[in-house]
Amino acid sequence: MHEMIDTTSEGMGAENQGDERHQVRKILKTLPKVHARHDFEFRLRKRITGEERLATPSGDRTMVPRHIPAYALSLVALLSAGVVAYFSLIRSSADQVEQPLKQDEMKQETPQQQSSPAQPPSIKPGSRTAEVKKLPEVQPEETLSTRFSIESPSSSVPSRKSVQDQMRDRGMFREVGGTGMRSDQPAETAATPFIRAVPNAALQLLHDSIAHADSAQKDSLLKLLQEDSRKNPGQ
Amino acid sequence: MAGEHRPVEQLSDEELIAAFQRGSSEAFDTIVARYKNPLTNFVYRFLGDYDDCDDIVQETFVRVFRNKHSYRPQAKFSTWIYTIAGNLAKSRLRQRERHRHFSLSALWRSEEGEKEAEIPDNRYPADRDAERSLKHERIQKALDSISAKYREVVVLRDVQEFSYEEIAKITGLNLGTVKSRIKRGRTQLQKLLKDIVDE
Repeated sequence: MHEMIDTTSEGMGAENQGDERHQVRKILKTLPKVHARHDFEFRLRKRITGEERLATPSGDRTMVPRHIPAYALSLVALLSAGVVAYFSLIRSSADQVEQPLKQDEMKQETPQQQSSPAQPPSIKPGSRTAEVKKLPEVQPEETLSTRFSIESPSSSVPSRKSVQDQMRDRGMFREVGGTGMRSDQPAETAATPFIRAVPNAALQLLHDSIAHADSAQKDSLLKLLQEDSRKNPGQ
Repeated sequence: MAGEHRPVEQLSDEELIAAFQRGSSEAFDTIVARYKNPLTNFVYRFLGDYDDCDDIVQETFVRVFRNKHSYRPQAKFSTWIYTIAGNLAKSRLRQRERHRHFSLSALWRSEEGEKEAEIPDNRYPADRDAERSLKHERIQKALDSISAKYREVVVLRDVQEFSYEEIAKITGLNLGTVKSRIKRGRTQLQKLLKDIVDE
């Protein structure tokens, strides 16, 4: 009996292809086996230990990367609070210094009038004579300084020392020790030039009155001034 | 259990992983010793680069160490570990493809003329046999030339000698797809290695 052999081209082709693929498999099997390096286990152990160390949390949980934003925000808040407190403190201390100075200025002389030299008002002779008011006669023992005294009537014109005492009471003097400055020397403040420029508070008040008075009043006031200066040439 | 009284080297893969899941570090060492070479061979034939292969196999064992409890005894341990290695190798291949978009020789041009960058060939292991024939190199180059999806199944079948069912489980493909891909891969190799096949 003859075996049925598929001698068609397709059959032969498929068989050949099958053989060839079988050959490819045989060729691939001949490839040498590639092995791991000799220190493979050592490196693997290191790698695993390193990963374990990263995975497990350390004892100190304070400095953890996820806490950094919280730390940064806390720091920013603290700094802001410090800056605000610092500037508010400065402001309040500056206000404390300015207030008593303003009070003193209002009571004594205004600084603007001290900055420019007092000029006698221009009074034309014979003007507005009908409007001259009769002013009280000045007693010989009475001086302008006593009449226009800011303090109580019994006290004299506020002297430099009394003004300094007032300032010291208000805490405006700086007690400095061991720096070469005398402790009783007054501290320099914004009001110091105004205080030093005032030789006589009453005189300044008089000048102010003159500036604001009308012409008749100016005449009488000027006369009083001249009399006072004749009596007290030193002031 | 009977497995606990036998030496660790005589335990099956499934018994070893079970022991490792119970905390036996010796069982893990045995798993590493047993699988490091086969995995290296598989990953190297798939990737064609030894340094990458070494890194992938190391990472495979690290993942086994970290995720030991995710192994279920319903499947074979070899299927599980080869799946991990195969997935890592495919990711590395995709990474390689993404970064292969510029010419290194363009960085080396000078006023005198063009200079080609000389890159050392790290594809073969440093401890390769001096008598390694040109034939093997050509075969490896031919493997590197065919499509990765065919290469994977061809290597698993013809180099690692897994069954079609095991390859289907490792790759996640159905049996028919595995067979057709193996067939096509071999056809492509056959064309590239025609002169060697005809010998």
